Amino acid sequence: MNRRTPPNSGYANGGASFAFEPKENCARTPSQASRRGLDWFAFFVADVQTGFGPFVAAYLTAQKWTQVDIGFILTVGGLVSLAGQIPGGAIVDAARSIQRAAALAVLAIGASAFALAAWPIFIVVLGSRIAQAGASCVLGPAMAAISLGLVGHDAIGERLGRNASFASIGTGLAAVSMGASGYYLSSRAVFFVAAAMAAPALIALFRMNPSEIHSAKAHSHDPQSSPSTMTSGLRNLLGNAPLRIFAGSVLLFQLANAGMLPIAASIVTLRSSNLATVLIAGALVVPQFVVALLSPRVGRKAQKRGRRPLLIAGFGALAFRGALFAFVINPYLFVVVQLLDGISAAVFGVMVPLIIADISRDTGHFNLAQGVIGCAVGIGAAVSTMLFGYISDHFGSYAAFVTMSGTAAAGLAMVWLAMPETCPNPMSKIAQSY
Amino acid sequence: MLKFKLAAQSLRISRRSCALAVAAFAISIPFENLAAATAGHAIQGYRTLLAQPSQEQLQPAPSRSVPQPETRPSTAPPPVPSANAPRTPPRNEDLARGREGTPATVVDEQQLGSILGKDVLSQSGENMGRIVDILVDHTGQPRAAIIDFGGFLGLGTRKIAVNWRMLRFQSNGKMDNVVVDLTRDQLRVAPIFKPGEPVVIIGRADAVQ
Repeated sequence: MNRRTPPNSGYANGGASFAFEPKENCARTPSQASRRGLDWFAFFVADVQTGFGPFVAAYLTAQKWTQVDIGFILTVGGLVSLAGQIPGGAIVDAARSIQRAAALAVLAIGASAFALAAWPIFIVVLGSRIAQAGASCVLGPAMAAISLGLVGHDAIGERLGRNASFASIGTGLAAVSMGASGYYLSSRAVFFVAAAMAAPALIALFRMNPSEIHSAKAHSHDPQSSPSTMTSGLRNLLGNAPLRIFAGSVLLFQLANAGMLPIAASIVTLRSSNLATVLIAGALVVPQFVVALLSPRVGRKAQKRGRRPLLIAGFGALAFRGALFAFVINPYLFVVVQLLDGISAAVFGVMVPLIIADISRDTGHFNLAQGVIGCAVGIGAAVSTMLFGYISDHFGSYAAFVTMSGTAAAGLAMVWLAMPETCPNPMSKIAQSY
Repeated sequence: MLKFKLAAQSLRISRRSCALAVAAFAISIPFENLAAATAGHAIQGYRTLLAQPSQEQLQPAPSRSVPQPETRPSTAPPPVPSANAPRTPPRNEDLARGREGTPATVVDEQQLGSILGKDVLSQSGENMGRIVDILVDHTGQPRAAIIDFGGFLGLGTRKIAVNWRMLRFQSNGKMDNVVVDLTRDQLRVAPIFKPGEPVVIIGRADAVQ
């Protein structure tokens, strides 16, 4: 039962001009250089971003920062990345050259990594964290917009699958190399490596032919997107029922997902003495492998069979994983359960930009919609860590995992009952290029 | 005659001033003793640190106004008030007028070390985590060190409060590692440190204080 919603025509696009895009609806084949460029851009951007995860806290501890200060820096980073999602999307929507916007964001992240390594004083670290958070709010939508501009709506699913695959390979290799450099050299070297990765990212970005990235398509068909229309665009997007339902379901997904791994890792440390570190490292690596393998397939299946079945599969994997964490005692099985994490992460990594592209088609606010969904993701993740940390502390980890599994099941019910199928033509075989 | 009268007058004045001086000196003796005693404690404390750095406690420099706690299990001799104290300890009015400088002690940097962020090893050399915080009670004595144990890249770490007396600091010049007298298994099953709840300090069963 695929209910199709008509594309949101909240804008007067009856007179939209396609004068400079004669072959708009045919399958476009961007050049090999552009495609490879986007592949490697996704790879190196993931490399640069990996450095800012757990390495920051370890580095600042080695620099003798107190826990209060480290917590403050991380909180500020989280708040800025949450608050900057919608403005970041609006900026990418308003940018005339998305390549330039993405280049500036990559430069900002590279510079902040360098500053963090070179001068670990409070004000520099705070500025670096804010800059990195803000730049990643721009970079995420920009990458999806470039992909959309490059291949169009019909082949975007497969393209996003490839992006996710390269990104997860980049994350995995970067984590290994940064962990090694942190261990053998110093925790400062990690950030110099991250800053160095910005250069290949820029090279890959500018290997893409700018004439092949149609900015009108990247913004979904509305060439006039000035900042003054951001509020009206926001109002229209929030009035869009499928977007609201999708935002709610993504929030529930992150609510259930973000808290699972830290609590489970803490229990593995409790239960397993010597191999705990190896098991946790394995638990981080296994989902990356699964994402790298499954994402292209997810993208292709989304184009052929539609989005809903895959969303339901993703939620189901998450609910099942929560239930397994609650009942599995053996710490070795912890790594096996993380395979399910890989499945749900692969599904959501591809589905989120894809469904946003579907919903915001022809509105001209693709990136703003990404910002809205990114906001929902951020809120869900933040609340999840706090809420389930509290539940785990006061009611035990069993209660926490069962509650998370229940939240995932609620999201599953929401998608099953309320979410429409947003794929324009499910059985389409048009998209051959990616 | 006049000379004698003037001399007698000057003698009387000087006798009065003599009496005043003697009275002032008599009153200031207990204060002098207290000042000498605290200064002596301070010097003694640093000397204890210099002489026996591997002993149980690091002695923080006590402030001038806080009397030393009596329950020090130290092997240092009781401080001798005036033998080691400076000859003329600064008095309050001199400090207020800025005539005396701030007392300070210079310690060789090899003898001291910062411990936040330092790695903690067990006696057999296993990695036990890092010290991330120190818990101090109201008298100023360190009671526990919070050790960030286990995990990988910050994921799955557990913060555990370890009794301060279980920590040993190296005495061979380089204070790079801190050794704790516990095994990994003892630390891993310990309850985690949660602010706002009673702290479970691992290592020794002390009397309730």
